[in-house]
Amino acid sequence: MNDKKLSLRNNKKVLFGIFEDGDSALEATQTVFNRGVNIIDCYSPYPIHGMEKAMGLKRSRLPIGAFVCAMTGLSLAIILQAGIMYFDWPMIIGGKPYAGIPSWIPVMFELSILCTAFGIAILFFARSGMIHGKIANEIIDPRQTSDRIVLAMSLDEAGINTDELVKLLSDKGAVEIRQRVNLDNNEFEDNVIK
Amino acid sequence: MSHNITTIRPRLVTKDKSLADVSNEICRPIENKPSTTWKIGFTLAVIFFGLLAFTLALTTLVGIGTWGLNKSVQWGWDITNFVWWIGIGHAGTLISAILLLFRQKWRMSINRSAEAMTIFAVLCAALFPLFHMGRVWVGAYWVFPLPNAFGSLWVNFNSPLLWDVFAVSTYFSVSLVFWYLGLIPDIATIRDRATTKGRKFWYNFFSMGWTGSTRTWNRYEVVSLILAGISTPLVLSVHTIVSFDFATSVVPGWHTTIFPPYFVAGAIFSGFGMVCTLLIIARKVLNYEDYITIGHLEAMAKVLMLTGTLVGLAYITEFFVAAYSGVEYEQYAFLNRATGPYWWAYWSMMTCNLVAPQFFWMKWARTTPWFIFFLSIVVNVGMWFERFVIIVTSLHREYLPSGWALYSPTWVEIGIYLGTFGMFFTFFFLFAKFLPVINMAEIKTILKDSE
Amino acid sequence: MAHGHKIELKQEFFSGNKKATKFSLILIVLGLLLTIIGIATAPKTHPSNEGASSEEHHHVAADNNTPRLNYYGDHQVNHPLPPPIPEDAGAHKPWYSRVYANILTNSYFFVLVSCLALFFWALQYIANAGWTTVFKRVIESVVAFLPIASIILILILIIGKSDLYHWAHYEHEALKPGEPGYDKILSGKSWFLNSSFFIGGIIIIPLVWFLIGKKLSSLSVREDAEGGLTPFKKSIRWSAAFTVFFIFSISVLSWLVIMSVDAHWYSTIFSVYNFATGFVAALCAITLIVLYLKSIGHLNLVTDEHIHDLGKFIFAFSIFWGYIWISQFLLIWYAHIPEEVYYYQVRLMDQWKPYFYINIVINFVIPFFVLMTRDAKRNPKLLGWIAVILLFGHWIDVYLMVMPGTIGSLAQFGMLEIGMLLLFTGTFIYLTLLSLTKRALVPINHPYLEESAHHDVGV
Repeated sequence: MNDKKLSLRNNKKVLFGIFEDGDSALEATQTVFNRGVNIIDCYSPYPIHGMEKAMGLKRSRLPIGAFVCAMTGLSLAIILQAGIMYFDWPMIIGGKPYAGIPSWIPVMFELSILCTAFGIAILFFARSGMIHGKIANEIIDPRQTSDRIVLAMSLDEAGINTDELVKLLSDKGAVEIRQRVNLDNNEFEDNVIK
Repeated sequence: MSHNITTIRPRLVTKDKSLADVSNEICRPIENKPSTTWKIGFTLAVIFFGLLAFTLALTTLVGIGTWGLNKSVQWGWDITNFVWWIGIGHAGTLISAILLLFRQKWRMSINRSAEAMTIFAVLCAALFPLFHMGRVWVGAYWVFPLPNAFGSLWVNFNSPLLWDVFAVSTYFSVSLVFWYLGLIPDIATIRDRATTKGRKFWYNFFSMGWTGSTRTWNRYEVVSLILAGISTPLVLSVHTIVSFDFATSVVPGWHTTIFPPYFVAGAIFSGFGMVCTLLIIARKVLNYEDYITIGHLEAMAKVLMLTGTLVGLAYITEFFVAAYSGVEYEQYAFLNRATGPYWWAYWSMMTCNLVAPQFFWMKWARTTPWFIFFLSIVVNVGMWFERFVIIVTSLHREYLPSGWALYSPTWVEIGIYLGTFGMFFTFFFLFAKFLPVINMAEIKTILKDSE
Repeated sequence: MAHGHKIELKQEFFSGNKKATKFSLILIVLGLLLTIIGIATAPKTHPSNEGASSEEHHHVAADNNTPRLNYYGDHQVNHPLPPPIPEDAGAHKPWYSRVYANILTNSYFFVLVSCLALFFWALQYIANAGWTTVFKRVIESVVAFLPIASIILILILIIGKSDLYHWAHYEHEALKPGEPGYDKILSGKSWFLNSSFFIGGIIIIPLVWFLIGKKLSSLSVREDAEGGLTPFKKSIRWSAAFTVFFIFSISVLSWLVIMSVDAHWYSTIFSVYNFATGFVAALCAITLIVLYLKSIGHLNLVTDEHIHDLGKFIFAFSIFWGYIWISQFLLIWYAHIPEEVYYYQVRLMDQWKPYFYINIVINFVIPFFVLMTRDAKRNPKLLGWIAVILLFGHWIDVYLMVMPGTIGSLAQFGMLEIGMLLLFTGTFIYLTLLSLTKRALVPINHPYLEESAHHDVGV
């Protein structure tokens, strides 16, 4: 996908529409998206139902990763138990056969779950670029994790002029609109338009 | 979707809250100085935690002889408490995972604290088998699949006790991952509201750079769903495997095939009991009556009623099949439970678990907080007795009368048990002080529901 | 599925479908034909006693070459162990007990399907679940087969009791302690396994289900006609009452009808196992009818979202079934107590072995791997096929519970078995579709209808 292109850094000019509630943010996103504006992202304190569709995002492929992790865990459990109980030191315990498959099932199950849970969490953090202690540098408004929704749009190739976009956003209920210009030395300038 | 919820459903969050209200009210305990209630409670908890440290030290230094176990009853209060705490540790993941899959939205106000409870309860539970092994310093690595003393023998994968090691440790770590993942958006909220340097640093550290981006939310929801999906069978498996500790044996009263689902139902029952106990206090002390409404309590009361009845069904099934089996040892084991020297435990169990929840058929009982609180305590007591009945009454009479012995706990065992409460509540008070007790991000999605 | 998007809640009627009726009638005729041919060509003598009439052998021990023995009963205590081969239940049975056992398998299976559909219906009320409302009539229609299946079950149990059940035959013999053939264990069970209790149980339990089902149905009719919240609230009460009665009564019924097939054997999880089998089958039946009605242009309010959730239910409860299956098997296998292990020993021998593995593969492995992905659950064709396979799988499950203990080596999988299954399936489809034509397809006054129509599973 074009995640890379659509980041706050890689666009010269970015417009932010700040909303108070999810419904108007969603409506604005749908309208703006249909007008062909490049939406960089939408930051919200809670998952807005339908927002990913409005932004044209695809469903995550992480479940495939989860399945791979589960199969890894399962294989690990089989190798571990067969290796120990059948190959390395076979012993008859309680009259059970060396390869007492039914009594391997609990550990097979647990290790599959363990690998899936840790695997999917690690994959999620890696895919989202999350790491302990990382400074959140995409905080446009400190209230975006509490009670504001920030819609970020690229102005570089917008098929709509800025004034029209600003009007559209304020019609849809934006309480604040800001423009950001990215400068060369990793700095930027924010201007409040409304 | 939020607009299409039927009007006859009661609102999940009462008194039109705005997004800002939610953040303000739920962050309040974290951002303000601790209240007097908190301080008193915390001190009490720490004192009991000290008792735990003392009794465990005594057990380690002197030995298991400080406990009341004997030649026949080799599992007593220790394993009873282990199973009891593990059972309590089931509600958290159950509420978050199964109720998420069933889309029961009332879970959102209670899942955070229930999950925290899960993690602390499992920690308490793990202490018992660990110290029961006698030499904790070797026990800590004996249980893992390493060659013995790094020689040539291995752990025994035919043993349900080893399955238990895998199950409990998996359950603990997966619950922790699930809980932490759920906390990240809320930690970011606190981070962005933080006014002090320390808070800014620590909440930033644990928020992992969360910004609330829709791209991340999109993945986050998928991951939550997968974790819920795998946690559901995991919850079932943990108590199933605990039940295998008993049911794979040939001890009358232990070897019965209904144990897996019956233990799971019992665990859900006792877990919900503990959730009710904690939340009825928390909603009062923290003023969260608008988030944890009477509707929530009623739903939990209904779950208690249902699972209590299921557990009762299992008691009756066991009793019936023992009679039906034609095996005299089975028949005796059950008669002995009801009429033997531990009859009081059996009938306490029956009264507390099967009879008491039937009060919830009355609307009044389901909607009166103090009464639910009272019954939740009764349920906790009853579920403790259930484990006591299963463990001690089945062990105290062997096949040969020479192996008959009665069991009573020593003060050390009682001290350890009371001490685990200290540990549990110490952690819980710390949690209530430093982390949001209610999942803010999830609550914000249902503010408008059922308007 | 945008916010606030209005969906028109239009009433629909199903006036029957010629093709489907024809299909069900073909099944019935074909089933009947196969059954008759099956009965006509069935071996009238016991496979191990060629040339002798079965009546003469009714009380004579089978003189097989394989030493078969019984763990129970005083006369066999001294046999060498192991490996013992459990006694063949079919050794002394007349040929027509195979017909009885088939009727028992099918009628019990369909009683399970319809009573668990009723349970699912009640569950929606007590759980305050809204999403199923748009296809509520389908759930109701599956329950319509309950009275017929129950009556067949009751009749066959009354008629064929002594030929099917070891204990009933034994009760009939009325032996005293010390007499040859006296069985301490079976005599010890006579307080539960006796004809009057048995017949009383199998009549009263389905009757109460039927009556509560009727009540719920009439409340549903009232709701359509009058509207208002009264029928809805009353339904919740009746559903709660039904659920409590049901969890106890389904246990008793499964003990009476199926667990007593292997009269010496016992397992406390058995009733839960029967519940799981029936519940998956009921969900599959409901799903199939929903998918069918949708494919011919009805149930316009049912969307992919509802299909997805039905798929989730089938997936989850297939795992639940697997869990209950392994719990029972693992514990019995592990403890290895002769009284219990005998049940699986029979089923892992001779002709039963393939069924044992087919049972696990169809009912657990296939749905687990196929329905794992979101796309699979939203694919009506795939889900439909899985539902068909699972229905057959759970029928096999019931077959495997009934046959080895009732008729043992007499059992064969031939035209009789296939015919009988087709006959019952055809009747089930015919009656279900008939009951759908009697009512409007959309419960138009149900308070959760709108919510259900807007149902969206999210991620």
